[in-house]
Amino acid sequence: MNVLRTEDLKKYYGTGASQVRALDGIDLEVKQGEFLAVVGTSGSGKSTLLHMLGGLDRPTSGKVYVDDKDISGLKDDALCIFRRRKIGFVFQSYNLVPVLNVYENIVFPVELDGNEVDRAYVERVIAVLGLENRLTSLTSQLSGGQQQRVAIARALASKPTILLADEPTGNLDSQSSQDVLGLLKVTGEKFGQTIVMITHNEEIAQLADRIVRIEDGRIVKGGERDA
Amino acid sequence: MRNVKNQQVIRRIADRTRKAGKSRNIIAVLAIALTTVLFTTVFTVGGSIIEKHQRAVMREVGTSSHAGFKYLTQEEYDIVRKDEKLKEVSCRIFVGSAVNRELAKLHTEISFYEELDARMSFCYPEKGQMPGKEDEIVLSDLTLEALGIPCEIGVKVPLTIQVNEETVEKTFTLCGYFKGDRIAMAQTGAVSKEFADWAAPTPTASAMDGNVDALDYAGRIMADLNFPVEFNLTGQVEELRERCGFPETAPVGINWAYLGDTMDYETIFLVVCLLLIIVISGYLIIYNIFYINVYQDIRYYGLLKTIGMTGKQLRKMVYRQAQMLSLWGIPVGLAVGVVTGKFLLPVFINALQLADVLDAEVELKLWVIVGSAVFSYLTVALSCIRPCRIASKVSPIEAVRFTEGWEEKDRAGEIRRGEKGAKGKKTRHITSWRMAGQNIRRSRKKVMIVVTSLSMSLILLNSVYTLVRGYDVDSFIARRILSDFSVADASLDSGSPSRDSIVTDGVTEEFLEELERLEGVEETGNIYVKDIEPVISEENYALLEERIFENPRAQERWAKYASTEAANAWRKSREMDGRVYGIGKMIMEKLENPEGELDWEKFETGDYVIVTRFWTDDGEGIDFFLPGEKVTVCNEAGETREYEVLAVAEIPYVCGLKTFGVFDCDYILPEEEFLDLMGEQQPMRTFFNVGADQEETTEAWMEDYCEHVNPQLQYQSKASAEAEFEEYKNMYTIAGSLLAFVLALIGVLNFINAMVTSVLSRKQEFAMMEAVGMTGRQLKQMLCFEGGFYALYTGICSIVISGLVSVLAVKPFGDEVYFFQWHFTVLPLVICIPLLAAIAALVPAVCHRHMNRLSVVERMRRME
Repeated sequence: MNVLRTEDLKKYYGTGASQVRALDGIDLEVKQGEFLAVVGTSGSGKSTLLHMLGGLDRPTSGKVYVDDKDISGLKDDALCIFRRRKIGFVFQSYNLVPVLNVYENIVFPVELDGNEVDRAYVERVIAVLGLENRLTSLTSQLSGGQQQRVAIARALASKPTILLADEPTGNLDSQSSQDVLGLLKVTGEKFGQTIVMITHNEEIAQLADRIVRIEDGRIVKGGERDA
Repeated sequence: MRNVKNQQVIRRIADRTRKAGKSRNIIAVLAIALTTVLFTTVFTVGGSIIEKHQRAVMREVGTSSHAGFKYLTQEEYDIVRKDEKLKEVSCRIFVGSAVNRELAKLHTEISFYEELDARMSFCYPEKGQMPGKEDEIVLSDLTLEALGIPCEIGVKVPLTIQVNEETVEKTFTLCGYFKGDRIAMAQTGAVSKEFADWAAPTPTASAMDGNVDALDYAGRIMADLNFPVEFNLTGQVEELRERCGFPETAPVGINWAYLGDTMDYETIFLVVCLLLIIVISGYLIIYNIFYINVYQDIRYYGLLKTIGMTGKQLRKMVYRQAQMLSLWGIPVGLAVGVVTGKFLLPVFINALQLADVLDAEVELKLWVIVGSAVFSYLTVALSCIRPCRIASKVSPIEAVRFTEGWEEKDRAGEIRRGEKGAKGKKTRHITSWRMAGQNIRRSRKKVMIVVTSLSMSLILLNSVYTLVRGYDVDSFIARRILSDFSVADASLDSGSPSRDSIVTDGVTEEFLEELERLEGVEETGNIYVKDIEPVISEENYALLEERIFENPRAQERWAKYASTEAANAWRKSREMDGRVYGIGKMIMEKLENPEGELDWEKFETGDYVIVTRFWTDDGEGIDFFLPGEKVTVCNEAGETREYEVLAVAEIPYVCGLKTFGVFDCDYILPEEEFLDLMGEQQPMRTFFNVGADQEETTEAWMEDYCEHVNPQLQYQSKASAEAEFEEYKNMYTIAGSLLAFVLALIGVLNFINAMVTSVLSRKQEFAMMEAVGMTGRQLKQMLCFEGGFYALYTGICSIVISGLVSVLAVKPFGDEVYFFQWHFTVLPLVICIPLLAAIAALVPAVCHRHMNRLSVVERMRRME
């Protein structure tokens, strides 16, 4: 079953001679529980793609379906609610809320939604990521690898349909990178989480179930699952 | 449940975010507090004056109750008393007026008071108790003083009381007394119920038809009422009347103190302007601070939005921060504002010449505090609207790339300008000056806010200066005083509302004798007045018909003051209003706008009269009679004498009665002739000049005389007029400069805030520029130039607007008073702008030094 699907997705910036075609007709399908890596060089359009998938930005044309629901036409606040319920983000720069402690950061999107936190589930996630002893720390007291683990926990806490990771190891040394990627993979399998990861690093991409290569806003390899 | 939970999480993150930025909170709290101080000061001073004025009116009226039914019978009073919607009902039973000879000048009413009513009527005894026994009485110390009886419980007080048409004589025993009030229309005395019932039994005939005869007042019940709320008393009284089943003609009185008709439009306009200025200045700074805070945090808000905070939640979060900051700022501001108000109130009371009736204690009513708090909070809420919107509209992607002033649309504009510039102009050298100019243009809105905020205080300062400088002491004094000193009865210039209580022959013989003995007096002059209507012959009336009654300009004036009917009534009965004055040589020489010769020797013969003019509304005089015509003057006995009009002229305002009628056709006779015709009487006013070296000693003598020898007399001197002028001027100077000072503080705070944040937000940019070879000196220079631009814009803006305000607002405002002479000036600006420029250059320099503590590499690294 496809949880994520795009149809002829386009994103253009500017007009005329200076027009930039960041995405130029992307058709992509992601299956429930799949770990997909999107690979491309700097400027290939991979980050723009992630923004579209996560509802952070709106496409110029084309559609994005999450759980068979078209999100490209949603209003700002509706998109926001969609994000916190359906999408978990893991960014290169962690993007944790500095004024909240580790636990508060993890449950923040759930609480924003006004929902009861599924404590048992969150505790399992925390255990898997090895954060039990750090729950009351402020994020500034953590190392980069630990911060990224918090970010992963936060992304998982709301049981999102898709976890989107944008260069999750970009700011980490190689040892931490290994840890984080391993955990990403493990949690994905353990919790049956669909993951879309963006990276420029071929080696990292090898961890994924499937690799899609993107160049100049087009998929050059691996668009259809059976290709 | 759901909603509550997510409120909590927003509250938590808002509070944590606020606590993370301590130093900027201090600035925000300071800004809110400053705004609150302004509001509280205005409310405290204004509120106290209104409150005191209301109390003064109550004292004058003689009761604090909201309203009252008058002249009731016992039966009717019982109906009113049983009304359930009234908060309080109490009554007094009118007995009569005390007519002892000693009380001729102090109208004293004797009634029986219920205890509550005595309190409401300010006659509850301060010493002693309410009358219980038949012959007991409570009086004011003023009444006792007039009777020549000491204020001691138990003394005997013989009184003659006029009860309707009869007089009752009785010796009472004083059982209590209270402090009398000179501004009250009547003094009061409280007797026992027993005595009231005996002397003036309550009639059973109803007076509901409204035509109660003054000879039927005795024994009637005056019910004083308090409603639960103070609003719409007219309506409430009307409803009560219907509930009681009284006819429309039922005699009722509503206390004027509650009618609030004492506020004129000009005052309301001024108050609204003042509040508006405060709201705007408060808005400018609070808005600016929140705006900058939100922009500094924009990436943070973007992040929150990315992980799922909705715009609405973000808006709530920013608003919550503002609320919590208000929780600190407003109470601090309230406290400081009340103290400031305490200091300012006496200044206003003195300057507005209310000191005679009002004391200068601050009246801290709840509504003053609530009003200031509400206005301050409103300003905060208003200031939050846009910052909240910015935070809520933040796009999660843009936020990550955000630097101030490079928004999407600005960027497009920038590019367009760039293209145009590239085509049209040659490339120029990059200088610190030009870079500063470019930088300034990056955030126009911020520049605008800071410039407005700085300009406002300068404009206000300049306006106040123009106003105060325009107040001309000489024209003030010339209008106030004709000679070095003048003396008259204190009631004459008290502005007392009841004309009957004005004494127009108050300069005593004793005083005149003392004056004669006084050393150094060079010249004296008296003015006498008799309020007696002019006698007009048929022949003369024909002249007046033509000159006055048929004159459209006269009719215009009557129409304006709603006195057309009165004028027509006079016309019908072939009479006019006017007075007869008697003057000495000294006053004759001061008569204004004379037409015809003012020759004392000729005038003194007693064959001539000087006549005043009719005044139209635009300040033009129409002659009643022309020189050479004959007029008749009569005295109280009816004896008439004919005089030839010597001249037409006006009595200077300070000499006259200072009240105005429909016509004011006044005749002026020489002193001797006046006394011969009218009979011996004391002057209304006496003027005298002393040698220059005697002014001080005479001043001291006069002060002593009017305070200790004869307190009924009041004097005016050049020195006292000058002091009065200074007080008036001081009010504007102090209030204006205080407001200007606070606004300046706000402006400078705003500027510092803007400068510091602009330096902070461009730290990395500066580091990059230094890395590619811009020296620290050049950078500092550029920053100082940026500050200079602020000063420059502020200078231009404030000079232009000050000029406009001076011509369009200050001049018309000042022209309202006669002693104002408008001069155009921008002197305060000329002095303040260099000062501003210095601050403008200094602040960036300090910021720069602060920033330079870190190395270039460190600063660049912080970019990530």
